[in-house]
Amino acid sequence: MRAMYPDHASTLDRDGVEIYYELYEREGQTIFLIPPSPITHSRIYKAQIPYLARHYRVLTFDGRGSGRSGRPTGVDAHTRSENVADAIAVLDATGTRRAVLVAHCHANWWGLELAQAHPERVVGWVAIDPGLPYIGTGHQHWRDAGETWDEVLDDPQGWKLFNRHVISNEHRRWIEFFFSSQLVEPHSTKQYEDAVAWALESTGEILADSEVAQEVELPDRDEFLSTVSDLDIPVQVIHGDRDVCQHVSKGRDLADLTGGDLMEVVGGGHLVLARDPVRVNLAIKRFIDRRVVGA
Amino acid sequence: MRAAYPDTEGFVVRDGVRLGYEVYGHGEPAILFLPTWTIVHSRSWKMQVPFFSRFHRVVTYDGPGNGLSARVTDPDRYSPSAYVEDAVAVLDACNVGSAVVIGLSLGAAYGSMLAVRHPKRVVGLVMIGPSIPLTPPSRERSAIEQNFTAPLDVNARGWAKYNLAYWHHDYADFTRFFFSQCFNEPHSTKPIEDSVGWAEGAGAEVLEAEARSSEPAMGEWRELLASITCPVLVIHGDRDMISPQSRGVEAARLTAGELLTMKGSGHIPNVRDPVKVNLAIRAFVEEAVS
Repeated sequence: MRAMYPDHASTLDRDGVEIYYELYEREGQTIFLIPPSPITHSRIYKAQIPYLARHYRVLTFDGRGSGRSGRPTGVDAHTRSENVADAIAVLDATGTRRAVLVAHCHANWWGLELAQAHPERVVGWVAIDPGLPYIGTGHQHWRDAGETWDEVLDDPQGWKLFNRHVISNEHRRWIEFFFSSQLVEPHSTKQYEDAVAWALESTGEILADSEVAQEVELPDRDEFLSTVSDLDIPVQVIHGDRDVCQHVSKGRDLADLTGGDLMEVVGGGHLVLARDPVRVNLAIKRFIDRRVVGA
Repeated sequence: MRAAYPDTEGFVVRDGVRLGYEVYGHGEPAILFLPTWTIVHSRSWKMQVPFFSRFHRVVTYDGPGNGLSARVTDPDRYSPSAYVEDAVAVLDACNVGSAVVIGLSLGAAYGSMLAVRHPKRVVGLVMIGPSIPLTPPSRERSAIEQNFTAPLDVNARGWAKYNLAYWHHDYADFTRFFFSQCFNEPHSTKPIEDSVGWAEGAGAEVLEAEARSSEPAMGEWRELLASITCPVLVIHGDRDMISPQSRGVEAARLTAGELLTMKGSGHIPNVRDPVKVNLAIRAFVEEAVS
């Protein structure tokens, strides 16, 4: 049972990969919710959709490798450009000319590239716990784990589970560690259970490939930062100050760079959208109604 | 931080015992939320008060032994009759002539007796998970009767912790066990934590005094419920581990009341499924009472 069901749910075929999308019809501004696949899918927005859909036309989809979309394998199938092309195909399939983007974690990078490639189609950007390169300070545990990513480790523990072999062969172990680390708020048993279940709909191999794919075609640092600061759309950043996936400094610096608004959720973790949905939802609505021109 | 704060707070002293009450909002009929077993206090209505105070004058108070009320250890102050007179004293202090009365668990017993003894004060009665001995308790719980005054077993497990010596030995552990049974729905960590915290306000001495109070026998309760004349709504979880659902069914039958069975719910659905419970109570108040 859901609080709300989509008016249209369908799949499109993009170069042989099925992409599942959902549309909640309503007159007016479209909100495009981009999930950070393949570790999760559109259900990560379950606490946003029923609220936002009362006010706006809401569009979301399952990224490749997750949910009801296809399960392509290999690093090349999970690059940013593939994910961005999927998002654009979803806009096209639903006749969506312009949208406010809402993205979580690394899906913000896809949102950013979409806005850069098609500035005329993006009228605002809500960046929740943004995962972007060169912005803010990343957590040390990611850098440490990255150093042993390809090694076969003897009895890895904690963040060392972020490892190609562990993720591929002990998918559940990594997923349970990851989400138990992220849900820093007390009383998060439901959000934990949901997040683990959605993640396990994918496979460890796909998740490991997608992690490698994030490093493909890294942009030049200065060029990247200047394109971010050149963005000509209103930006709202929402970040939990106890986020152990994307350090809160990323959100702060993104807001600085873009001249955007920052809502820092005190005590909030990486799944602030699931754990503090009322505050997040009201911030999204306030942003759209006040800052998005023509909304 | 609370979702709603009282408009007025006060104390009423009945027969030397101080009772703390709170009044929220406006609108008729008034709604009186009764205390239940004094292991918790009026904050256990936290999911109801902000909603109903938008439409009604809402009165809550703490029973003796917890919250803002006196820590009495006289068993007589914990008899259902004493709770009935406390409720009347609070209604008088708040100038409430009559109210829809809502009771959870033991509070449903107090509310039933209030409705019979002071029918003009009760325009409707809602019983949630009534803990009234209308049908036998579950097998696990029936052992309580024999075990309650048994010598201390520090390794007691499960319902064996419902034991006077164990309460005095490790009260906090008993309360953790008890509320894990009350809230058997998944994802109940917050209500369990809240309730264990509220239970700290009572303590083993208070619960002992309550346990030594006298209460009517099964047959008397049946007679009492059958003589209730106001509209009645009974809400009962079908997985209630504290008071079997059969008691709610029987309470509805005896009072010719409505029965709402909450699928998958435990003993305290008003906390764990507040939207459903609140809307059912609102519909009852609008249709049956007004």
